[in-house]
Amino acid sequence: MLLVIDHHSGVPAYRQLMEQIRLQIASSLLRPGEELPSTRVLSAELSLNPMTISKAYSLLERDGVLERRRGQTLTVRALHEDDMQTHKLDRLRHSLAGPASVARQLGISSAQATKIFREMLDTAKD
Amino acid sequence: MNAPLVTDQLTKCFGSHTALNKLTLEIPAGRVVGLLGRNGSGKTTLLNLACGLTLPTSGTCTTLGKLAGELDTPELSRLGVVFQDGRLLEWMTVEQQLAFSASFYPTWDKARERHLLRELDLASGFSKIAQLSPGDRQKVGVALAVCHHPSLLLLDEPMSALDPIARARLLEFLLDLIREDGCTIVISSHILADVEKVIDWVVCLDDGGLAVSAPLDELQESYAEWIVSAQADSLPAKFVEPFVLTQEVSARQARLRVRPEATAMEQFRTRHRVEITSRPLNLEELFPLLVKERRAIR
Amino acid sequence: MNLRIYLGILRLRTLGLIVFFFWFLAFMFAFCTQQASHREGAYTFLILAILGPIATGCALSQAIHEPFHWPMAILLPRLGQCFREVHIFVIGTLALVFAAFGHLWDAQTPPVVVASFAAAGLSLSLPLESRLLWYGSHRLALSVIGLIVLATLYTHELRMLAQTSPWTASLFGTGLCAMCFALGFSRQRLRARASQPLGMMMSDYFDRAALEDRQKEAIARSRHLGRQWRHGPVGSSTMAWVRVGWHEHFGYRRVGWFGMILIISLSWPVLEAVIEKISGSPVSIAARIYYLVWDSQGPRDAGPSFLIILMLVASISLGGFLRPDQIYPISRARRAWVAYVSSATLAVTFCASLVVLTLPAAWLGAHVAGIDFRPAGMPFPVLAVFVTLPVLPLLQWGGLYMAVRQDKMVHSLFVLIGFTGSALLGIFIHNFPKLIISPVGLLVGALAIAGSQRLYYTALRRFYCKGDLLQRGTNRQNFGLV
Repeated sequence: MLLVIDHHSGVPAYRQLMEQIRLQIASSLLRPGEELPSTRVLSAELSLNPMTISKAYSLLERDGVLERRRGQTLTVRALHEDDMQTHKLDRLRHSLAGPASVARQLGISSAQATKIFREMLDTAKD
Repeated sequence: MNAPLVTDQLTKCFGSHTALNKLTLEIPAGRVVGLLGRNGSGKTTLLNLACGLTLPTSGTCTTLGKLAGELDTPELSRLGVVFQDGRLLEWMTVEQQLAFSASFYPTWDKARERHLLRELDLASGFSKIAQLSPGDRQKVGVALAVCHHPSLLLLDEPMSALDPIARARLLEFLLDLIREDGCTIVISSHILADVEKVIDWVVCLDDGGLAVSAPLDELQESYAEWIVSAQADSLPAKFVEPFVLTQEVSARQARLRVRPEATAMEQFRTRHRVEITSRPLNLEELFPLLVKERRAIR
Repeated sequence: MNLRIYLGILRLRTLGLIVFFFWFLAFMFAFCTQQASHREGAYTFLILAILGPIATGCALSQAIHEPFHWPMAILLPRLGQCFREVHIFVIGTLALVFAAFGHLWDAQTPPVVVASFAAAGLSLSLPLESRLLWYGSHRLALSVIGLIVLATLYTHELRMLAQTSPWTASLFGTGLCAMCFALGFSRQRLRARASQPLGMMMSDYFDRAALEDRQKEAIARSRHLGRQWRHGPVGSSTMAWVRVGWHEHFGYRRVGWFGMILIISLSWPVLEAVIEKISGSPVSIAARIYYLVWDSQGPRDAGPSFLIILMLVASISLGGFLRPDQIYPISRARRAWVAYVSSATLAVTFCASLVVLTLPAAWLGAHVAGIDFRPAGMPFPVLAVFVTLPVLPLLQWGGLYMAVRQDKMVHSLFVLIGFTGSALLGIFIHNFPKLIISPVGLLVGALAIAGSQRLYYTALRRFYCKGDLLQRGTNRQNFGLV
């Protein structure tokens, strides 16, 4: 799994890990039923404290993103279409919080801001 | 598992100078603890007290279940310490020094010793320890402390003389230790950027007392930096809310470092009619706030 | 450069203390004897014209050594020349002081000879500054030590020379002094790799950090490797831990702890005999050794020299302890016990070798001197053992106390007490040998031995169990009287 943890951002490592796993699941890089690496393996790969990894994993399990099957292994939980959609929209909402604040600060009206966003989406499609 | 290091009203005076003043703390088991503090805050004294080399003036220090002055063979063979001043035998070669220390500990692991020497690039030739560079001396000090599988590892500035690659390798190795032995590690270091990568608990000393003892995640989530910009009016000259720890205020913008309650941000925004951009703080930025906060209480 | 700056560099308090220290020792040494006047004269000459100036000169050179070899000093114009001018003046003054005292106490020797010999001795350490290494290659150091030993042995002859042909002797002395100055202050020396001269020995005793630094430098320079540690796992055996301590301290030295003890026990009769020879007696050193052991030629002052030996043994035994700033997987009580066993083993080895080695030495002495080997009476080493067993732990305690209490005044006081006590003890042993061997004497001796061993062990235990191993100076109340 290609994950990057920035230790100096101030964001707790476990939180970064959770976010990135959620993002990977939402963008189908991690499919439902796919096994996640064990705590030991991932901690060696990312040079993280194993406790951090297990904290992230258990919180994701609590949130219903991951499930434990066949004893010890953690796998991605299969979600309904609706849940998946909600999931994806949540991710987008999360990413847009910053730009929304910038727009407010610059005093740009919501109509203008939405127009710009639409333009950017269209250019990306091309 | 019991807490490997517990102090209770621990006080240590050197003549008229008080190094530690009624310090009460408990190092949780199985964690990597960063022992932070300014110079002279008592970090080295605490570590010396924990190993039993120094005895407290009053109060107690309990290491691995025994009082520090009564530590005996079972506890001491599970303790590993890396001293800041590298107390090694100058005339021995690296191999001789390791073989000598290995004979004290029945649990010495030759394989780990070889692995560590390779990882840290310490070529054990015939150079004596007196001829080694400060960085190499630190590496030897680390090797002496970890090869016998300690359950409590105390490191006093173990990386100050190492180059960045050696530091990275040492940190990797410490993580290996946690995975394999499940030991408790206490690192006292000024290089916060490095320490931040491995620790998950922060103990901060200030002037001989305890400023903070909390998980790193909790600290990172409690503190933040707010960039405040005024929409309409100018900002007040000074913000008096108690959760504002430091502030730099100009006419229409301010940079605040805060420790807010849950709803504090909303209330602040409405009260002052401002726009807030919040950003988390890393350990280097947190440190002055931890120390400063304690002074405010006093 | 004026005299004030020079005196400032000297760190007068330390220097004064060293010089006073040496002088007091020397006078105690010389005048606690009960000998004829010609011996006094020889001692005075030895101290005022040879040993005194050399020791003071070393202390002086050590003081100016550091600023003189400071890298910046090369850039400062005329620094060497200025130093030389003031140093000549200071040495000249001191030589005159020595000569004045010489005239006071030894009217037969012309003061001009004493002055010139003193000037030579004072400047002897100057050429050593750039070349002498402390533990490493030391051809030059050995030659100086050899010179000192020769001069000591032939004090009497030199004194005779001084009295019969004073001007030749003065010329020799002054010439030597001039040569040392030329060598010491030459441009090449200024740039040469700096090391500390022999004289550091005395002030180093007061400055542990400096001694350790220099030891480190010397170790880094030399190619000698220490012994291999061949003792395998150290479990709970006390003797194994004792060996650990000895290996740490003696592992680098070419002579191990056992060899050291043997050498020291043998050196006692030799040292004593040499001192006897200085007094100008016609009896050879070999014969002296024989008479010394078998106590058959008049009263002698074995006290001071024996005490020097005991102090050596005491300091070696303290060196064999486990390092206080290091963690070993044994408890503090155990450490105290290991320390005690270590000292006791060394003490017993010393006493045994004293008895076992000095008897053959006496035989050899008799053989070389051509005397019939006819032992008469109680051999002195046996009596000495009786003295050693109670006195050595007291000395060891004293040594440990001095290490704990890093105070120059305390050090000086202790050494003073030691020397006075030893002189009295020496006199006692000589004048009352029968008393020591009598039942009363044996009983008192046994009680003294038990008492001093107990005191020492208790002190060690208190130090280790309650003391601060790192900041030893803070332990005073736990360990000792004051």
